[in-house]
Amino acid sequence: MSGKLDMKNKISVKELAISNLVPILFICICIIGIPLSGYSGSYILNEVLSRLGRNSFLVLSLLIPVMAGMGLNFGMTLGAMAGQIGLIFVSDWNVVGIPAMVLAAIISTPISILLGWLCGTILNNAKGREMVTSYIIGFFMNGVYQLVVLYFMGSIIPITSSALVLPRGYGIRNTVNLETMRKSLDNLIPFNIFGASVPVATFILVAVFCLIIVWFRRTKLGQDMRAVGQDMEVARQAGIKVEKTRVLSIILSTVFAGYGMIIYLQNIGTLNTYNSHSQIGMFSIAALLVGGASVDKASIKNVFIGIILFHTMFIIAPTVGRNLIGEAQLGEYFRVFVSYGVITLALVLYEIRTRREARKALEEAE
Amino acid sequence: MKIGRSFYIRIAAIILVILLGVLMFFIGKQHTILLDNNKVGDIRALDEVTVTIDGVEGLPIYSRMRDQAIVTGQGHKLAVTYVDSSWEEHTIEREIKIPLSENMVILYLPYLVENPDSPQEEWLQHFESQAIVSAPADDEVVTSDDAMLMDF
Repeated sequence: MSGKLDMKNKISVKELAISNLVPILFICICIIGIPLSGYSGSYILNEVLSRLGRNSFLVLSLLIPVMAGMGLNFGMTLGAMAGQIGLIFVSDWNVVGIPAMVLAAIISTPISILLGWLCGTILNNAKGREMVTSYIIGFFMNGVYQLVVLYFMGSIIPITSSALVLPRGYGIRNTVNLETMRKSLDNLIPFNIFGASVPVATFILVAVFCLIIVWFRRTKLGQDMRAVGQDMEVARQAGIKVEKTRVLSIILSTVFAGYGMIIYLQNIGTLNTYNSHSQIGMFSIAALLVGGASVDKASIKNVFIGIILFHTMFIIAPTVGRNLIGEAQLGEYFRVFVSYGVITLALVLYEIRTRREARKALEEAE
Repeated sequence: MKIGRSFYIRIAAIILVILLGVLMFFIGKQHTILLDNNKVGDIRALDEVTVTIDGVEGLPIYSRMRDQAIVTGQGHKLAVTYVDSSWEEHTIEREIKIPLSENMVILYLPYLVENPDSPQEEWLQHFESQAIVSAPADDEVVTSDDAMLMDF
Protein backbone atom coordinates (compact mmCIF):
# COMPACT_ATOMS: atom_id res chain seq x y z
CA MET A 1 0.00 0.00 0.00
CA SER A 2 2.71 2.44 1.06
CA GLY A 3 4.74 1.37 -1.98
CA LYS A 4 1.81 2.28 -4.20
CA LEU A 5 1.53 5.66 -2.51
CA ASP A 6 5.26 6.28 -2.97
CA MET A 7 4.91 5.41 -6.65
CA LYS A 8 1.96 7.75 -6.95
CA ASN A 9 3.91 10.53 -5.21
CA LYS A 10 6.91 9.93 -7.46
CA ILE A 11 4.76 10.16 -10.54
CA SER A 12 3.04 13.31 -9.35
CA VAL A 13 6.39 14.96 -8.55
CA LYS A 14 7.67 13.94 -11.98
CA GLU A 15 4.55 15.24 -13.67
CA LEU A 16 4.72 18.40 -11.64
CA ALA A 17 8.33 18.89 -12.75
CA ILE A 18 7.43 18.25 -16.39
CA SER A 19 4.46 20.59 -16.34
CA ASN A 20 6.61 23.30 -14.72
CA LEU A 21 9.73 22.57 -16.72
CA VAL A 22 10.01 26.04 -18.22
CA PRO A 23 9.77 28.01 -14.93
CA ILE A 24 12.15 25.55 -13.24
CA LEU A 25 14.63 25.98 -16.09
CA PHE A 26 14.44 29.74 -15.73
CA ILE A 27 14.85 29.66 -11.96
CA CYS A 28 18.04 27.65 -12.53
CA ILE A 29 19.28 30.12 -15.18
CA CYS A 30 18.64 33.03 -12.81
CA ILE A 31 20.27 31.31 -9.79
CA ILE A 32 23.41 30.58 -11.82
CA GLY A 33 23.38 33.85 -13.78
CA ILE A 34 22.85 36.45 -11.02
CA PRO A 35 26.21 35.87 -9.26
CA LEU A 36 28.00 35.62 -12.62
CA SER A 37 26.56 38.96 -13.76
CA GLY A 38 28.06 40.79 -10.80
CA TYR A 39 25.05 43.11 -10.54
CA SER A 40 24.00 44.36 -7.13
CA GLY A 41 20.68 43.27 -5.67
CA SER A 42 19.30 46.82 -5.72
CA TYR A 43 20.17 47.21 -9.42
CA ILE A 44 18.41 43.97 -10.36
CA LEU A 45 15.44 44.90 -8.14
CA ASN A 46 15.21 48.33 -9.76
CA GLU A 47 15.34 46.85 -13.26
CA VAL A 48 12.85 44.07 -12.51
CA LEU A 49 10.38 46.51 -10.94
CA SER A 50 10.66 48.86 -13.90
CA ARG A 51 10.16 46.01 -16.38
CA LEU A 52 7.35 44.51 -14.33
CA GLY A 53 5.54 47.83 -14.56
CA ARG A 54 6.09 48.39 -18.25
CA ASN A 55 5.34 44.85 -19.47
CA SER A 56 2.58 43.55 -17.20
CA PHE A 57 -0.24 45.18 -19.13
CA LEU A 58 1.01 43.74 -22.42
CA VAL A 59 1.34 40.21 -21.03
CA LEU A 60 -2.01 40.41 -19.20
CA SER A 61 -3.69 41.22 -22.52
CA LEU A 62 -2.85 37.66 -23.64
CA LEU A 63 -5.02 36.02 -20.98
CA ILE A 64 -8.43 36.61 -22.54
CA PRO A 65 -7.83 34.72 -25.84
CA VAL A 66 -6.31 31.81 -23.87
CA MET A 67 -9.53 31.74 -21.84
CA ALA A 68 -11.55 31.53 -25.08
CA GLY A 69 -9.42 28.64 -26.33
CA MET A 70 -7.70 30.68 -29.02
CA GLY A 71 -4.22 30.03 -27.75
CA LEU A 72 -1.50 32.63 -27.50
CA ASN A 73 -2.49 35.72 -29.41
CA PHE A 74 0.49 36.58 -31.60
CA GLY A 75 -1.88 39.09 -33.18
CA MET A 76 -1.37 41.37 -30.18
CA THR A 77 1.16 43.20 -32.36
CA LEU A 78 -1.88 44.68 -34.10
CA GLY A 79 -2.85 46.39 -30.86
CA ALA A 80 0.75 47.49 -30.41
CA MET A 81 0.64 49.12 -33.85
CA ALA A 82 -2.61 50.90 -32.93
CA GLY A 83 -1.01 52.19 -29.73
CA GLN A 84 1.96 53.47 -31.71
CA ILE A 85 -0.29 55.28 -34.18
CA GLY A 86 -1.96 56.98 -31.20
CA LEU A 87 1.44 58.03 -29.88
CA ILE A 88 2.52 59.41 -33.27
CA PHE A 89 -0.59 61.61 -33.36
CA VAL A 90 -0.20 62.96 -29.84
CA SER A 91 3.48 63.69 -30.54
CA ASP A 92 2.48 65.64 -33.62
CA TRP A 93 -0.16 67.57 -31.70
CA ASN A 94 2.39 68.38 -28.98
CA VAL A 95 0.29 66.89 -26.21
CA VAL A 96 2.40 65.80 -23.24
CA GLY A 97 2.34 63.79 -20.02
CA ILE A 98 -0.60 61.75 -18.76
CA PRO A 99 -3.12 63.55 -21.04
CA ALA A 100 -0.98 62.41 -23.98
CA MET A 101 -1.18 58.80 -22.81
CA VAL A 102 -4.94 58.97 -22.31
CA LEU A 103 -5.43 60.63 -25.70
CA ALA A 104 -3.17 58.05 -27.40
CA ALA A 105 -5.21 55.29 -25.75
CA ILE A 106 -8.46 56.87 -26.98
CA ILE A 107 -7.08 57.15 -30.53
CA SER A 108 -5.78 53.58 -30.46
CA THR A 109 -9.08 52.09 -29.28
CA PRO A 110 -11.12 52.25 -32.52
CA ILE A 111 -8.07 51.17 -34.54
CA SER A 112 -7.53 48.23 -32.17
CA ILE A 113 -11.22 47.29 -32.34
CA LEU A 114 -11.12 47.29 -36.14
CA LEU A 115 -7.89 45.29 -36.31
CA GLY A 116 -9.07 42.92 -33.58
CA TRP A 117 -12.34 42.30 -35.38
CA LEU A 118 -10.45 41.63 -38.62
CA CYS A 119 -8.04 39.27 -36.88
CA GLY A 120 -10.81 37.48 -34.96
CA THR A 121 -12.88 37.00 -38.10
CA ILE A 122 -9.91 35.50 -39.94
CA LEU A 123 -9.11 33.26 -36.97
CA ASN A 124 -12.67 31.95 -36.97
CA ASN A 125 -11.92 30.62 -40.42
CA ALA A 126 -8.75 28.96 -39.21
CA LYS A 127 -9.99 27.08 -36.16
CA GLY A 128 -7.31 24.89 -34.61
CA ARG A 129 -4.56 26.94 -36.30
CA GLU A 130 -5.15 30.20 -34.47
CA MET A 131 -1.62 30.81 -33.27
CA VAL A 132 0.19 30.40 -36.56
CA THR A 133 -2.57 32.34 -38.33
CA SER A 134 -2.38 35.24 -35.87
CA TYR A 135 1.41 35.22 -36.25
CA ILE A 136 1.11 35.59 -40.02
CA ILE A 137 -1.65 38.22 -39.65
CA GLY A 138 0.86 40.17 -37.57
CA PHE A 139 3.34 40.12 -40.46
CA PHE A 140 0.63 41.06 -42.95
CA MET A 141 -0.61 43.95 -40.84
CA ASN A 142 2.96 45.09 -40.34
CA GLY A 143 3.08 45.70 -44.07
CA VAL A 144 -0.16 47.70 -43.94
CA TYR A 145 1.17 49.64 -40.93
CA GLN A 146 4.34 50.49 -42.83
CA LEU A 147 2.32 51.62 -45.82
CA VAL A 148 0.24 53.93 -43.62
CA VAL A 149 3.11 55.29 -41.56
CA LEU A 150 5.69 55.48 -44.33
CA TYR A 151 3.55 56.81 -47.18
CA PHE A 152 0.18 58.05 -45.94
CA MET A 153 1.29 60.00 -42.88
CA GLY A 154 2.35 63.47 -43.90
CA SER A 155 0.70 63.14 -47.32
CA ILE A 156 -2.89 61.91 -46.89
CA ILE A 157 -2.96 61.87 -43.09
CA PRO A 158 -1.94 65.32 -41.80
CA ILE A 159 1.26 65.20 -39.76
CA THR A 160 2.96 68.59 -39.62
CA SER A 161 5.76 68.36 -37.07
CA SER A 162 9.15 68.51 -38.79
CA ALA A 163 10.55 66.45 -35.93
CA LEU A 164 8.32 63.57 -37.03
CA VAL A 165 8.05 63.81 -40.80
CA LEU A 166 10.91 62.64 -43.01
CA PRO A 167 12.75 65.39 -44.94
CA ARG A 168 11.04 64.28 -48.17
CA GLY A 169 7.74 65.62 -46.73
CA TYR A 170 5.87 62.43 -45.97
CA GLY A 171 6.43 59.35 -43.83
CA ILE A 172 7.48 59.18 -40.20
CA ARG A 173 11.09 59.13 -39.08
CA ASN A 174 12.71 55.99 -37.65
CA THR A 175 12.42 57.24 -34.10
CA VAL A 176 9.82 59.37 -32.39
CA ASN A 177 10.98 61.12 -29.26
CA LEU A 178 8.55 60.54 -26.39
CA GLU A 179 10.63 62.46 -23.87
CA THR A 180 7.68 64.71 -23.04
CA MET A 181 5.73 61.76 -21.69
CA ARG A 182 8.63 59.56 -20.55
CA LYS A 183 7.83 57.91 -17.23
CA SER A 184 4.93 60.31 -16.70
CA LEU A 185 2.86 57.43 -15.38
CA ASP A 186 5.71 55.63 -13.63
CA ASN A 187 6.74 58.74 -11.71
CA LEU A 188 3.22 59.98 -10.99
CA ILE A 189 3.41 58.63 -7.43
CA PRO A 190 7.11 58.64 -6.49
CA PHE A 191 8.17 55.85 -4.14
CA ASN A 192 11.52 54.18 -3.45
CA ILE A 193 12.33 50.88 -1.79
CA PHE A 194 15.93 49.72 -1.11
CA GLY A 195 17.16 52.36 -3.53
CA ALA A 196 14.88 51.06 -6.28
CA SER A 197 12.24 53.29 -7.82
CA VAL A 198 8.77 51.73 -7.74
CA PRO A 199 6.32 52.76 -10.51
CA VAL A 200 3.36 52.88 -8.11
CA ALA A 201 0.83 54.43 -10.49
CA THR A 202 1.65 51.85 -13.17
CA PHE A 203 1.25 49.05 -10.64
CA ILE A 204 -2.11 50.47 -9.56
CA LEU A 205 -3.23 50.45 -13.19
CA VAL A 206 -1.99 46.87 -13.60
CA ALA A 207 -3.79 45.86 -10.39
CA VAL A 208 -7.01 47.41 -11.71
CA PHE A 209 -6.57 45.45 -14.93
CA CYS A 210 -6.06 42.23 -12.92
CA LEU A 211 -9.28 42.95 -11.00
CA ILE A 212 -11.08 43.56 -14.29
CA ILE A 213 -9.86 40.18 -15.57
CA VAL A 214 -11.01 38.44 -12.37
CA TRP A 215 -14.39 40.18 -12.59
CA PHE A 216 -14.65 39.52 -16.32
CA ARG A 217 -14.25 35.77 -15.78
CA ARG A 218 -17.41 35.81 -13.66
CA THR A 219 -19.52 37.77 -16.14
CA LYS A 220 -21.81 36.11 -18.67
CA LEU A 221 -19.34 36.86 -21.47
CA GLY A 222 -16.44 35.53 -19.42
CA GLN A 223 -18.31 32.31 -18.66
CA ASP A 224 -19.19 31.99 -22.35
CA MET A 225 -15.53 32.39 -23.28
CA ARG A 226 -14.51 29.68 -20.85
CA ALA A 227 -17.22 27.40 -22.21
CA VAL A 228 -16.06 28.07 -25.78
CA GLY A 229 -12.47 27.44 -24.69
CA GLN A 230 -13.36 24.06 -23.22
CA ASP A 231 -15.50 22.73 -26.04
CA MET A 232 -16.82 24.76 -28.95
CA GLU A 233 -19.49 22.25 -29.97
CA VAL A 234 -20.89 21.89 -26.46
CA ALA A 235 -20.89 25.68 -26.12
CA ARG A 236 -22.72 26.03 -29.43
CA GLN A 237 -25.33 23.53 -28.36
CA ALA A 238 -25.75 25.47 -25.11
CA GLY A 239 -26.78 28.47 -27.20
CA ILE A 240 -23.53 30.43 -27.02
CA LYS A 241 -22.61 32.38 -30.13
CA VAL A 242 -19.19 30.78 -30.47
CA GLU A 243 -17.82 32.82 -33.37
CA LYS A 244 -18.94 36.13 -31.89
CA THR A 245 -17.44 35.23 -28.50
CA ARG A 246 -14.12 34.31 -30.10
CA VAL A 247 -13.99 37.55 -32.07
CA LEU A 248 -14.77 39.51 -28.90
CA SER A 249 -11.90 37.84 -27.05
CA ILE A 250 -9.45 38.89 -29.78
CA ILE A 251 -10.87 42.43 -29.89
CA LEU A 252 -10.45 42.79 -26.12
CA SER A 253 -6.92 41.41 -26.27
CA THR A 254 -5.98 43.77 -29.11
CA VAL A 255 -7.42 46.82 -27.36
CA PHE A 256 -5.58 46.00 -24.11
CA ALA A 257 -2.38 45.28 -26.05
CA GLY A 258 -2.66 48.80 -27.51
CA TYR A 259 -2.91 50.29 -24.01
CA GLY A 260 -0.07 48.05 -22.90
CA MET A 261 2.11 49.33 -25.72
CA ILE A 262 1.46 52.94 -24.68
CA ILE A 263 2.45 52.12 -21.08
CA TYR A 264 5.52 50.27 -22.37
CA LEU A 265 6.66 53.13 -24.59
CA GLN A 266 6.07 55.83 -21.95
CA ASN A 267 8.59 53.93 -19.84
CA ILE A 268 11.11 53.56 -22.69
CA GLY A 269 10.72 57.18 -23.87
CA THR A 270 11.45 56.47 -27.52
CA LEU A 271 9.30 54.94 -30.21
CA ASN A 272 11.12 52.97 -32.91
CA THR A 273 8.44 53.59 -35.50
CA TYR A 274 9.11 50.51 -37.62
CA ASN A 275 10.45 48.06 -35.07
CA SER A 276 9.01 48.61 -31.59
CA HIS A 277 5.94 46.47 -32.19
CA SER A 278 7.56 43.71 -34.23
CA GLN A 279 8.95 41.64 -31.37
CA ILE A 280 6.51 42.62 -28.66
CA GLY A 281 4.19 39.66 -29.26
CA MET A 282 7.00 37.14 -29.19
CA PHE A 283 8.55 38.50 -26.00
CA SER A 284 5.21 38.85 -24.21
CA ILE A 285 4.24 35.28 -25.08
CA ALA A 286 7.66 34.02 -24.01
CA ALA A 287 7.29 35.83 -20.67
CA LEU A 288 3.85 34.28 -20.12
CA LEU A 289 5.13 30.79 -20.93
CA VAL A 290 8.13 31.22 -18.64
CA GLY A 291 5.60 31.84 -15.86
CA GLY A 292 4.24 28.33 -16.32
CA ALA A 293 1.34 29.09 -18.66
CA SER A 294 0.49 26.86 -21.57
CA VAL A 295 -1.43 27.27 -24.80
CA ASP A 296 -4.73 26.41 -23.13
CA LYS A 297 -4.17 27.60 -19.58
CA ALA A 298 -2.85 30.91 -18.31
CA SER A 299 -3.46 32.86 -15.14
CA ILE A 300 -2.51 36.19 -13.59
CA LYS A 301 0.01 34.34 -11.41
CA ASN A 302 1.77 33.07 -14.56
CA VAL A 303 2.03 36.64 -15.86
CA PHE A 304 3.94 37.98 -12.86
CA ILE A 305 6.15 34.92 -12.28
CA GLY A 306 6.94 34.93 -15.99
CA ILE A 307 7.84 38.60 -16.20
CA ILE A 308 10.08 38.42 -13.12
CA LEU A 309 11.96 35.32 -14.33
CA PHE A 310 12.12 36.25 -18.00
CA HIS A 311 13.30 39.75 -17.28
CA THR A 312 15.84 38.70 -14.72
CA MET A 313 17.31 36.58 -17.51
CA PHE A 314 17.00 39.53 -19.90
CA ILE A 315 18.86 41.83 -17.50
CA ILE A 316 21.72 39.51 -16.63
CA ALA A 317 22.26 37.73 -19.97
CA PRO A 318 24.50 40.32 -21.74
CA THR A 319 26.75 40.81 -18.71
CA VAL A 320 27.00 37.08 -18.07
CA GLY A 321 27.93 36.64 -21.72
CA ARG A 322 30.63 39.32 -21.41
CA ASN A 323 31.98 37.98 -18.11
CA LEU A 324 32.12 34.37 -19.30
CA ILE A 325 33.18 34.71 -22.91
CA GLY A 326 34.15 38.37 -23.19
CA GLU A 327 31.30 39.06 -25.63
CA ALA A 328 28.19 40.96 -24.45
CA GLN A 329 26.67 40.33 -27.88
CA LEU A 330 26.59 36.62 -27.14
CA GLY A 331 24.40 37.26 -24.10
CA GLU A 332 22.12 39.35 -26.30
CA TYR A 333 21.81 36.48 -28.76
CA PHE A 334 21.30 34.12 -25.85
CA ARG A 335 18.22 35.94 -24.64
CA VAL A 336 16.67 36.02 -28.12
CA PHE A 337 17.49 32.34 -28.59
CA VAL A 338 15.96 31.57 -25.18
CA SER A 339 12.79 33.52 -26.04
CA TYR A 340 12.21 31.45 -29.17
CA GLY A 341 13.34 28.30 -27.37
CA VAL A 342 10.83 28.80 -24.57
CA ILE A 343 7.95 29.16 -27.02
CA THR A 344 9.08 26.03 -28.89
CA LEU A 345 9.48 24.05 -25.67
CA ALA A 346 6.07 25.14 -24.38
CA LEU A 347 4.41 24.19 -27.66
CA VAL A 348 6.13 20.80 -27.73
CA LEU A 349 5.15 20.11 -24.10
CA TYR A 350 1.57 21.12 -24.86
CA GLU A 351 1.48 18.76 -27.82
CA ILE A 352 2.94 15.88 -25.76
CA ARG A 353 0.41 16.47 -23.00
CA THR A 354 -2.52 16.68 -25.44
CA ARG A 355 -1.48 13.41 -27.13
CA ARG A 356 -0.98 11.69 -23.80
CA GLU A 357 -4.40 12.78 -22.58
CA ALA A 358 -6.02 11.64 -25.83
CA ARG A 359 -4.28 8.26 -25.53
CA LYS A 360 -5.38 7.93 -21.90
CA ALA A 361 -8.97 8.79 -22.84
CA LEU A 362 -8.86 6.20 -25.62
CA GLU A 363 -7.50 3.53 -23.25
CA GLU A 364 -10.21 4.31 -20.71
CA ALA A 365 -12.88 4.07 -23.39
CA GLU A 366 -11.57 0.65 -24.47
CA MET B 1 -35.68 48.37 -36.27
CA LYS B 2 -36.16 48.69 -32.53
CA ILE B 3 -33.58 50.79 -30.76
CA GLY B 4 -33.01 49.53 -27.23
CA ARG B 5 -31.69 51.18 -24.08
CA SER B 6 -28.27 49.63 -24.55
CA PHE B 7 -27.93 51.45 -27.87
CA TYR B 8 -28.30 54.82 -26.15
CA ILE B 9 -25.90 53.75 -23.40
CA ARG B 10 -23.31 52.83 -26.02
CA ILE B 11 -23.77 56.12 -27.87
CA ALA B 12 -23.44 58.04 -24.58
CA ALA B 13 -20.27 56.08 -23.73
CA ILE B 14 -18.74 56.86 -27.12
CA ILE B 15 -19.59 60.56 -26.77
CA LEU B 16 -18.09 60.59 -23.27
CA VAL B 17 -14.86 59.03 -24.52
CA ILE B 18 -14.64 61.55 -27.37
CA LEU B 19 -15.21 64.40 -24.91
CA LEU B 20 -12.50 62.97 -22.65
CA GLY B 21 -10.16 62.93 -25.64
CA VAL B 22 -10.95 66.56 -26.42
CA LEU B 23 -10.39 67.48 -22.76
CA MET B 24 -7.03 65.68 -22.75
CA PHE B 25 -6.04 67.57 -25.89
CA PHE B 26 -6.83 70.90 -24.24
CA ILE B 27 -5.13 70.23 -20.92
CA GLY B 28 -2.14 68.34 -22.32
CA LYS B 29 -1.22 70.63 -25.21
CA GLN B 30 2.26 72.00 -24.73
CA HIS B 31 3.30 75.49 -25.84
CA THR B 32 6.66 77.21 -25.94
CA ILE B 33 6.69 80.88 -24.95
CA LEU B 34 9.73 82.79 -26.12
CA LEU B 35 10.48 85.59 -23.66
CA ASP B 36 12.06 88.27 -25.78
CA ASN B 37 13.90 91.24 -24.32
CA ASN B 38 14.98 92.90 -27.54
CA LYS B 39 14.18 96.32 -28.89
CA VAL B 40 10.64 96.49 -30.39
CA GLY B 41 10.38 99.37 -32.88
CA ASP B 42 11.20 102.48 -30.86
CA ILE B 43 10.78 100.76 -27.51
CA ARG B 44 14.18 99.91 -26.11
CA ALA B 45 15.03 96.64 -24.34
CA LEU B 46 14.83 96.41 -20.56
CA ASP B 47 18.04 96.23 -18.53
CA GLU B 48 16.83 93.27 -16.50
CA VAL B 49 13.52 91.50 -16.31
CA THR B 50 12.28 88.37 -14.53
CA VAL B 51 9.27 86.47 -15.79
CA THR B 52 7.19 84.24 -13.54
CA ILE B 53 4.67 81.91 -15.17
CA ASP B 54 2.16 80.08 -12.96
CA GLY B 55 4.32 80.78 -9.93
CA VAL B 56 7.49 79.38 -11.49
CA GLU B 57 10.13 82.10 -11.55
CA GLY B 58 12.60 82.12 -14.41
CA LEU B 59 16.14 83.40 -14.54
CA PRO B 60 16.71 87.16 -15.11
CA ILE B 61 16.64 88.13 -18.77
CA TYR B 62 19.06 90.91 -19.58
CA SER B 63 18.93 93.38 -22.41
CA ARG B 64 18.96 91.84 -25.93
CA MET B 65 18.48 88.35 -24.57
CA ARG B 66 15.81 85.77 -25.16
CA ASP B 67 14.67 82.92 -22.91
CA GLN B 68 11.92 80.36 -23.24
CA ALA B 69 9.27 78.85 -21.00
CA ILE B 70 7.46 75.62 -21.77
CA VAL B 71 3.89 75.48 -20.52
CA THR B 72 1.02 73.02 -20.72
CA GLY B 73 -2.54 74.17 -21.31
CA GLN B 74 -3.87 77.48 -22.54
CA GLY B 75 -4.52 79.75 -19.55
CA HIS B 76 -1.57 80.99 -17.50
CA LYS B 77 -0.72 83.62 -14.92
CA LEU B 78 2.11 85.86 -15.99
CA ALA B 79 4.12 88.17 -13.76
CA VAL B 80 6.82 90.40 -15.24
CA THR B 81 9.18 92.03 -12.77
CA TYR B 82 11.53 94.74 -14.01
CA VAL B 83 13.61 97.61 -12.74
CA ASP B 84 13.03 101.05 -14.23
CA SER B 85 15.56 103.80 -14.88
CA SER B 86 15.27 105.05 -11.31
CA TRP B 87 16.02 101.52 -9.97
CA GLU B 88 12.51 100.98 -8.75
CA GLU B 89 11.10 97.51 -9.06
CA HIS B 90 7.72 97.04 -10.73
CA THR B 91 5.61 93.98 -11.40
CA ILE B 92 3.02 93.62 -14.11
CA GLU B 93 0.58 90.77 -13.65
CA ARG B 94 -1.52 89.50 -16.51
CA GLU B 95 -3.51 86.44 -17.40
CA ILE B 96 -2.61 85.08 -20.80
CA LYS B 97 -4.44 82.66 -23.03
CA ILE B 98 -2.37 80.93 -25.66
CA PRO B 99 -4.32 79.97 -28.78
CA LEU B 100 -4.75 76.19 -28.98
CA SER B 101 -3.25 75.94 -32.46
CA GLU B 102 0.00 77.67 -31.50
CA ASN B 103 3.00 75.54 -30.67
CA MET B 104 5.29 78.50 -30.19
CA VAL B 105 4.53 82.12 -29.32
CA ILE B 106 6.77 85.09 -28.65
CA LEU B 107 6.23 87.50 -25.80
CA TYR B 108 7.71 90.98 -26.41
CA LEU B 109 8.61 92.01 -22.87
CA PRO B 110 9.59 95.65 -23.59
CA TYR B 111 6.29 96.21 -25.41
CA LEU B 112 4.29 94.74 -22.51
CA VAL B 113 6.15 96.88 -19.98
CA GLU B 114 5.62 100.01 -22.08
CA ASN B 115 1.94 99.22 -22.75
CA PRO B 116 0.75 97.11 -19.80
CA ASP B 117 -2.93 97.61 -20.61
CA SER B 118 -2.67 96.81 -24.30
CA PRO B 119 -4.47 93.72 -25.65
CA GLN B 120 -2.62 90.41 -25.54
CA GLU B 121 -2.39 90.17 -29.35
CA GLU B 122 -0.02 93.12 -29.44
CA TRP B 123 2.71 91.61 -27.27
CA LEU B 124 2.06 87.86 -27.54
CA GLN B 125 2.31 86.71 -31.13
CA HIS B 126 2.71 83.61 -33.23
CA PHE B 127 6.30 82.55 -33.84
CA GLU B 128 7.50 80.23 -36.55
CA SER B 129 10.56 78.30 -35.45
CA GLN B 130 13.41 78.44 -37.92
CA ALA B 131 15.38 75.84 -35.96
CA ILE B 132 16.81 73.03 -38.01
CA VAL B 133 15.70 69.64 -36.79
CA SER B 134 18.68 67.76 -35.49
CA ALA B 135 17.89 64.55 -37.39
CA PRO B 136 20.04 63.97 -40.49
CA ALA B 137 18.61 65.14 -43.80
CA ASP B 138 18.80 61.67 -45.38
CA ASP B 139 17.19 59.84 -42.49
CA GLU B 140 17.09 56.35 -43.93
CA VAL B 141 14.04 54.40 -42.88
CA VAL B 142 14.72 50.93 -41.47
CA THR B 143 11.66 48.75 -41.82
CA SER B 144 13.28 45.32 -41.65
CA ASP B 145 13.25 43.10 -38.59
CA ASP B 146 16.81 44.08 -37.74
CA ALA B 147 15.70 44.80 -34.22
CA MET B 148 16.20 41.18 -33.27
CA LEU B 149 18.25 42.27 -30.31
CA MET B 150 15.82 44.88 -29.10
CA ASP B 151 15.22 45.26 -25.41
CA PHE B 152 11.86 44.35 -23.93
